[in-house]
Amino acid sequence: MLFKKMLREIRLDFGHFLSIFLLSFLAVMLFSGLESNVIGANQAREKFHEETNLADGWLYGENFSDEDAEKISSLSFVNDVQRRMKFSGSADSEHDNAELTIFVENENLVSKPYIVSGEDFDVASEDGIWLADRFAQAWEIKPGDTFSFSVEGLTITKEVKGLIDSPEYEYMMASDDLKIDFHHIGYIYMSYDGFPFREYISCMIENNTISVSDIIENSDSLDDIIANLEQYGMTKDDITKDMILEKIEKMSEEDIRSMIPFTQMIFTTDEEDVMSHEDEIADAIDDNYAVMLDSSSITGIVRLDDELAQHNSVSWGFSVVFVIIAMLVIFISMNRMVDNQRIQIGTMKALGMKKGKIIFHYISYNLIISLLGSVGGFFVGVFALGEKIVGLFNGNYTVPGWEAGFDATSILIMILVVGGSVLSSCMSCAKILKINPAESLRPAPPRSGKKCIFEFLPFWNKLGFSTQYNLRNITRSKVRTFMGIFGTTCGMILMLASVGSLGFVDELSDWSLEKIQNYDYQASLSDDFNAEDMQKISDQYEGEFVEFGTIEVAAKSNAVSADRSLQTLIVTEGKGLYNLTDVNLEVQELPEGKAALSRKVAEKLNLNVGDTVYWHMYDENTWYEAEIGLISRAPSLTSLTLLRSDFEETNHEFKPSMFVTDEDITGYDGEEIVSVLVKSDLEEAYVNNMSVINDLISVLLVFSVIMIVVVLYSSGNISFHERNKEFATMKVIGFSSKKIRNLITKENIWLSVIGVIIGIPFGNAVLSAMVNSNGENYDYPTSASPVVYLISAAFVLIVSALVSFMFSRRIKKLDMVGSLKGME
Amino acid sequence: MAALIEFKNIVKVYGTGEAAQKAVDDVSFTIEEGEFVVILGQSGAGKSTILNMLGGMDTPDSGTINIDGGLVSSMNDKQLSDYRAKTVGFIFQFYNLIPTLTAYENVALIKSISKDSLDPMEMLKSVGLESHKNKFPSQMSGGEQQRVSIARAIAKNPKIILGDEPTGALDSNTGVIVLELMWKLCREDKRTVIIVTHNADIAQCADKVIRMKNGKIIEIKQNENPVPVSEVNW
Repeated sequence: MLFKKMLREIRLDFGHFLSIFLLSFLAVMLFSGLESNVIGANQAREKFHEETNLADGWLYGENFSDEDAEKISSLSFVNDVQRRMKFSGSADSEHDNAELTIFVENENLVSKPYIVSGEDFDVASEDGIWLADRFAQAWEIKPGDTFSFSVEGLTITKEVKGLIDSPEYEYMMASDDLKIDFHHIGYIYMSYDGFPFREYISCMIENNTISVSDIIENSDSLDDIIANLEQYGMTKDDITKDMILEKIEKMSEEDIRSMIPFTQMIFTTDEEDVMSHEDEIADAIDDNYAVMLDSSSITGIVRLDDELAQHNSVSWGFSVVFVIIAMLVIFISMNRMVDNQRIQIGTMKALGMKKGKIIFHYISYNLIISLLGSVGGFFVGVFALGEKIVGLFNGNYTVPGWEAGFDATSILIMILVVGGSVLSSCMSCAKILKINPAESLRPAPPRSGKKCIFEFLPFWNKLGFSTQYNLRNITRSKVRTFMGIFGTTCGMILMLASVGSLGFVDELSDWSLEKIQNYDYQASLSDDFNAEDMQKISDQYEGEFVEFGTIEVAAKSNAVSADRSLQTLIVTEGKGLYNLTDVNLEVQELPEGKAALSRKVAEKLNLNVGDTVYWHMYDENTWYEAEIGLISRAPSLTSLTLLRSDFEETNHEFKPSMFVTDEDITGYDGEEIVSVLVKSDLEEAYVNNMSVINDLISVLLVFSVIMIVVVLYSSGNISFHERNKEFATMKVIGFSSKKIRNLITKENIWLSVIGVIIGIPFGNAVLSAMVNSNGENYDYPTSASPVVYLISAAFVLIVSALVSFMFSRRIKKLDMVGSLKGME
Repeated sequence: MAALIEFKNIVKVYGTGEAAQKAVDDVSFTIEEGEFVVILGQSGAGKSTILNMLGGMDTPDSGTINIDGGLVSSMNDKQLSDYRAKTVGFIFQFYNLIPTLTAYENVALIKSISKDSLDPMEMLKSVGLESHKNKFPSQMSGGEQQRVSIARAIAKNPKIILGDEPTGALDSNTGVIVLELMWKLCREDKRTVIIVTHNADIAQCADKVIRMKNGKIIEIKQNENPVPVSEVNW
């Protein structure tokens, strides 16, 4: 019978229970949906990294020997070690000269390729290569096909034995691309035995990529030639290219191979903080390495780490707000419902029904509704919203088996929502059950009246009736007042977080494309771009050359790796086309002799304007120093920026990779410029890149709107039901419906405005937490613009007013007799 | 033979300090099994408080209530629940039916409280409402609702029926029908019926009349010749 009672009461008070259902549904759906992307990715990555034995440490050096590998291997905290060679190459013109990274390996122990299709990776294969699956798919290359690529001018053609994913390339984007296009970037794993070293070296010599002195410096293979020359009174300068080529031809395979060093050594460990072992590693190989990195410095890994960290923040940020709102609204509305059933509870008790049975009956309302909502939210969240979100992101990242997932946290949130709502019923019911049945059979006594705090104001008597009435009402009905303020506060938080996020995307566009990239054309320059080429372009176009490089910066010279920060070096000519913006996002000129350091890096290294920053090129050991003249900010790039003149003073050649100008450079005919992008391309790429974020935020915005409507509806519903008799009494004594409506509207506006004001700092905090969670390389603005505040506040107030209007319309239809008679 | 109900030196105070008010002040009486008892008094006399204590819905501040061999005044919450579920059936002035259950379901609700409950349909028949079984309280008149309430009270098959102003919200014709039902419960089913009312006419039907004023008993009168409800001139 009680079950039937429950079903009928749910039907009668459908709006109330629909609110509870929606709140539970939304809270769980949002959390499980957003988190399913992160959880699914983490689960797939864990498996991916485990199966491929992803490296934990990367050592870069000039030449790692077998002995070095053995020494590292003998360290107690090291599990597996492997050396490898890494070459930069490109695909043939049929494949758009795509950027390719070639890994040459004689072992397959660490960061092993994950086979998507084809044969297993074979380190002894002489005729085959294993090609990145994404690249292969983009070009419809299949195992068994022949593929040609070039390294330092040498074209190598091999059979594609398999298609692979590398855990070090979960993210990859070609350097000239503005958006990810797998036609333009890929990687190859191939056997050490299959790499044509002799042809490679010969090709480099023929192309003058390496000189005689390079070979003499890095190898002892020419020692016998030099010795012979000395017999004839000649020196190394007399060695010709043909002599070397002839020598190369005659050299044994072993000698040839010894000329190409293993420049990378990768290893795995069970230790959490691999960088803390750098001293031991350095000691083991007598400091014979240039750089040691962990996965946080590997772009292909860290970009996804950052992305997932941000999703995690967004999902927790929004979900926690949603769950708290849901729990509080459910608690308050259930309390109201149980209060309304006081006499029924008393009757059941009078009939002899046990407490436990009554409590279980009232628990079952919320248990069933919130369980339905939560379970529904969980499934829709994981399998609809989650899959959709995964679909938005996994197109840009490569993790095999990445699909929406869930773990104990999702279940825990579900239990929390269901448990919270059940607990709220339990507490509400227990409150009435504490009263003896005789008393609970009577309506609750009216609250004793006392002066409200506002009545002590000196101008109290000058206030109008409606103001006095509402002030008294607000102070006496604390729960209702709290609910009203709470509803609008939550609304403001959600609106600020979502509208603010959308707003910041626009702000980013303005900042990035108008202030920093203040030009109309952007040309990518060829790899062998030289001073002559620079002059040639400068003669034809007014513009600015920009060089990008990789450096490490530190607050002191020769700092240990843990105190260094891997950064981008930007060298500009200071012509106002490629600009720097300060912490207030305003364009600033970099003074000569000074460097600009990104805000996040400066904070990390505890540096400020006037301090000295130390830096070295990634592949060099010499450290330089520069005085910080500006703390800069850019949305997605942290860097140390120098003027060309200051950079050249460090005895480095200025090798720009980009030329920016306001003049139309699209018609330039010459190999110096590889590609040209016009402003509209940049804008389009920007919109494309941001579209995923926009989609995600739009989804959140929709949920926020639903949540606001549900919360404000619930709060209005509770308020109206609680004051039903009060309004009926007012009508009976002669108040017009309009007058009562005005009273309600006035009070509602007060509470909404208070809620909106309180919501601003909380909304800012949520927005800031979300925006700031996107990794070290990003530095998005975190304060919302005034327009965002206005839109958010206006929306919340309008929804609040509409809900208020909806309920105040009921005043007109209020049945005075019905409302005033009867206890139920 | 011991009385079914023994109410001894009962005091019940509401409020504390200066606001304390004795709702029941040293009240003692006994009621025999099968008696039809009317507790009479004006509003505030303390009669409903006595009925609530008899029903195990309220507890005295001092004194003892012994009902059917059980010391109700000393029972804990669980024991009181059992007592209410098995020994007493309550009929309220405003019926207190569950508005979202039909007439039949309101009576059948007792099945989930008492294992020894009687057939709900039979109970509805006994109050002449079998044709109303699918009606909700809001679809029935006050008299009909009160008859459902009686059916619900007797469905537990209790020894004692307690009525708190059972005719207070009804017109006189309907009130008579309700009283006749209660009279039958006493005379035909041999149940003890205790009615609290301010309507002195009802006293004519009672075996025992307890008059109260300001929380005290002013008279206990044994009616040697109670008049059947149908014969009372209302």
